[in-house]
Amino acid sequence: MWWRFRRHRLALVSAIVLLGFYLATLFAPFLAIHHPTDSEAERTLMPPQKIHWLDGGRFRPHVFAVEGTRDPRTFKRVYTEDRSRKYPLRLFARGFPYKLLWLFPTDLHLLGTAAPAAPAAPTLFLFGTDLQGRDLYSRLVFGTRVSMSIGLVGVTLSLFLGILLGGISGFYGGAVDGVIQRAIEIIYSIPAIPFWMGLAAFLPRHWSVLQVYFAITIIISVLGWTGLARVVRGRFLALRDEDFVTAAQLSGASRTKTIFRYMLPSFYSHIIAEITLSIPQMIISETALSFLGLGIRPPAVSYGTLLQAAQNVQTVALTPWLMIPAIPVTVAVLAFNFLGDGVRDAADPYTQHAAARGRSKDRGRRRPPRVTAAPPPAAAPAAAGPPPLLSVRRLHTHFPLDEGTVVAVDGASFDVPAGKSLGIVGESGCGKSVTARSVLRILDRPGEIVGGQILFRRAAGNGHGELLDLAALDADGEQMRAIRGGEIAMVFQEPMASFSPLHTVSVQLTEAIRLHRRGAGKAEARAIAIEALRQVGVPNPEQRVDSYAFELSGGLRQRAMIAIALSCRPSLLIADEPTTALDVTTQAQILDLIRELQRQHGMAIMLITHDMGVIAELADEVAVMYLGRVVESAPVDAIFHDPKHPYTQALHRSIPSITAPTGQPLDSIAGSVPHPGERPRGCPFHPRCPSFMPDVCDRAAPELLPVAPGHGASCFLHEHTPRGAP
Amino acid sequence: MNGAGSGGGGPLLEIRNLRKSFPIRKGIFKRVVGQVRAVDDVSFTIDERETLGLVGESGCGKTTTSRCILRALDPTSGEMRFRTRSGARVDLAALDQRALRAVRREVQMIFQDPFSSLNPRMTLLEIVGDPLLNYGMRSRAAREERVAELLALVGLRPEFSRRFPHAFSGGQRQRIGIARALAPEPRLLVADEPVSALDVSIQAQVLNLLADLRREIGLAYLFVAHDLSVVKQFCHRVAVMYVGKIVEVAPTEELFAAPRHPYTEALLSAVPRPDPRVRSKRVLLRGEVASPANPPAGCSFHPRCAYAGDPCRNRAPALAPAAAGREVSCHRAGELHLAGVSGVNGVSGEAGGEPASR
Repeated sequence: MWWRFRRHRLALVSAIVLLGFYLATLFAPFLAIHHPTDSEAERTLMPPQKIHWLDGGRFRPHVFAVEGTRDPRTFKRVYTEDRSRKYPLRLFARGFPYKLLWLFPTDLHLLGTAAPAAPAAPTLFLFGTDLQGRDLYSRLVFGTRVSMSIGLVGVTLSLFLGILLGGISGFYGGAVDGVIQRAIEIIYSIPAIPFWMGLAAFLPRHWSVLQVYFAITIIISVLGWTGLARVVRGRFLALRDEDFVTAAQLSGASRTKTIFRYMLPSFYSHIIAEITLSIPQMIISETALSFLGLGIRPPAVSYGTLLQAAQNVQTVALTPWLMIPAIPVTVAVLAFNFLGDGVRDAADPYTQHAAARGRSKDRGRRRPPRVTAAPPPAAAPAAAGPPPLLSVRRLHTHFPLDEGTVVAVDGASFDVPAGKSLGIVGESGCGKSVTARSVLRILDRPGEIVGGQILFRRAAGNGHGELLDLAALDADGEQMRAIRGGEIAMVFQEPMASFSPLHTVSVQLTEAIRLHRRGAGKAEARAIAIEALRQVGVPNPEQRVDSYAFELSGGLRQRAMIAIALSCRPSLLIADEPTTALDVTTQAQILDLIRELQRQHGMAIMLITHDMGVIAELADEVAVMYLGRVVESAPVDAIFHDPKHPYTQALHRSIPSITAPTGQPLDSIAGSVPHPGERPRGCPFHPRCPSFMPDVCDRAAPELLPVAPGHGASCFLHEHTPRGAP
Repeated sequence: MNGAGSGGGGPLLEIRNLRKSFPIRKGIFKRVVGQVRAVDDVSFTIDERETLGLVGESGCGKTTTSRCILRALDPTSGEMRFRTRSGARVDLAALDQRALRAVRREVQMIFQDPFSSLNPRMTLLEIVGDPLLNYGMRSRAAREERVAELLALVGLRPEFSRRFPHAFSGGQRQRIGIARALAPEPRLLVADEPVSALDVSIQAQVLNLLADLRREIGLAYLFVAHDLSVVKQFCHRVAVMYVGKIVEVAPTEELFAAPRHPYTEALLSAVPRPDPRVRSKRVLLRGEVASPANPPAGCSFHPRCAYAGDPCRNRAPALAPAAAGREVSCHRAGELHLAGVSGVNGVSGEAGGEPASR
């Protein structure tokens, strides 16, 4: 978290600024020049004194004495410099006595004038003086004490209330939660300023400065804790059902231990961020209250009381320096806000992705679309027969992230025959979903296709059709949009996420129909939609068409999703784990439906799944992927009955079969899939491969080469001349 | 471990008439307008060293059942008699928090999601060592030693104990979760879909590990799963649930070879076979799973059942013994001849054409 925080430049600077502020509160008397309550009638409303840096060409900062006279006509005091009396400025000068850090008596000050033992004490009013002739600079330094500390004390108080009440509310829930939440709502509904004014009016006049200070702090935090309480409650509610909290309770942790050891640490960083953001509110509140004369009372000094002097227009016009206290208020509040942002970003890993996305570059640059007639370059395990509908050749898709580029697809090649099903199978991280999204050009940012071709045979009027490289098209261009959802449609794993919860199935279905079938009227589109639902086996389509997605069961949602996908008669349907979220009996229904629809419409299917059973049920051709590469591609029967690649073979052995005897140990693949950011050198499977050949497999990556007609494998075991070391 | 010491005292866990309902509330005043009977009169037993598979589709109540046994949920009614290591019989449903804490040592859980079940802010030493601390192992050195043993037991390197979970893959994280569950030396492990979030190649590793532990430590498992192939491979006996009720219990091989309940038959036939030569002719179920908030009258399965007759529509069948070690809840169980795994796919022989199995 600290590492991430440090990258937030602005927050880091803010942290340093705030540190300065709080050091100033500790060392206020040392930084001050005059005692904050020293007043001199002779020097009322004096403008800031000018510092002369150079003395005869040499750096020797000094000030001149200032003489005040009263203008006989306006009775305004007019100040003029007396050039004859020069006082050099000095560091660590002596001034009024005080106790450093409330402990050590001293009279040293950071800045002062070298005081000659003159009758008229030398003056140094950096920010001028106020109506009583008190030094504004010194008062400001002392005011920092009150204003900055009131934020801290106030937040500590609301932190205590917020965590306690929010924690009780979230952890216990039920009636307690109800009472606390209603109380928070009531407090929220009270208008702040009148409430403060009412409370402040109750403060007895005879109270000491310290009593008033604490009373004001309490008044401010009475309203301040509610926000924090809600955050804490929300976190507790979310964490209460978190598996690791349940695990802690099951492993014998007591309730207190569960809260303090498991739950609180998971969100303390969020609390810190919340606090950082609420301190400036407190500072502003205090300033506002004191400005109105309801908060801190003189003789105590705070930013608010200082600004009180600048309450009228006259002041702004004649003595603008009285507005100076507004500057530290603004700076402190801004600094706290930036710091809070920085802390929150560092605490919340999700913003990291947003930052990474924002930085992905040159997205607009795209080559113009081109029509390729030349044969695909890479060796393809193409069987004899009609040309494939989709040929992916050496596809490379990368995700440039801050931590390094993730190579999601690394030279994958495969064909989808027209009217047939290609199954792409592989484990998580093998790049199968990214491949599908690359074909449709709907990659999540910052993913981009960095190489290869996606050749799609478009049905055209002249019979044979044209070959279009989808990788070269503009992802958001008109051509790609027409293909997406029109000629190539997609069905996702989680049908719930693919539907808008705000619109009925009818709205989304007719929209898809009308988008790609120009000229279809509303009523006509609705009729098509109902027919489409009937086709995918939705019972009572006339009624179901007007329901929302969340009103349908998982199976019906997936049917509706398929109906939308098929509504425009695509020549290719991409199904990404279409049955993974479904129960096994529903899965069987959906698989049958897809097969039946394919038979009726003659569309090609690109089926992406991790389930070998689903592949066996539905696929004609299979491509097995591992770490972004196609390691084997063959007709489905060969993949299951004559697999050539060691990975495919190992995959078969590791799958428990419903027909195998009970209790037989499984033959597992050693190790686990490496992170796509840390790809092994050479063949990506070699660290887990039972047939690993040293100095061959770890040197270069094997090509996908034919091992039989229509059967390709990417393995040195099947290359006749293993390409070894260079 | 020393579970055999109390030998011959009946089952390790005996569930009797377990029910768990969740109220359905509506409106501002949260008025109770109905009950979701998530678990509706469930009874089964688990013997020492035995693995009982609990299968069914989502919403059938299998996870609720397992959470009730762990008392992560409080059951509405019913008994859950557990035989402790000392031989005493306790009813898990009736224990107060203090007594429960002592018994929980012996009943632990493995979670489905290897990511959310590990606290990301704790090292392996803390994750696996905390249960030890909770049960009184105060010495840090002793804990470290035990954690190293446990990590080695689940196939992780003991040096890993200073690392945080994010440094591990899904399969390794699941091993960490297993090590944590083993720390208090349980006798019963409730595993809720322990491999369904894992890749197939990792699934096999974890299943093998669980089988090794069963053999070496003598653990009993309640294995909750929806993947029938995994259940077939791993479990001794299987209980099939449908809408909050157990419809059939049988030894694994018998259940898969010759189911007695029509729902079991449909479930088995729906499993896709990893072999294109046996593209199955399935018993496709009509319609949707019934809602546990509003189950149909009679047998809950009758609206989808191809064999349903008049009694099925009017009267709910009870789970009754059908043969040695088998129980089924179906009015027509005696007269039906249902297809098992080898029968449905139309291929002769048990592992017909399965190329990869050894």
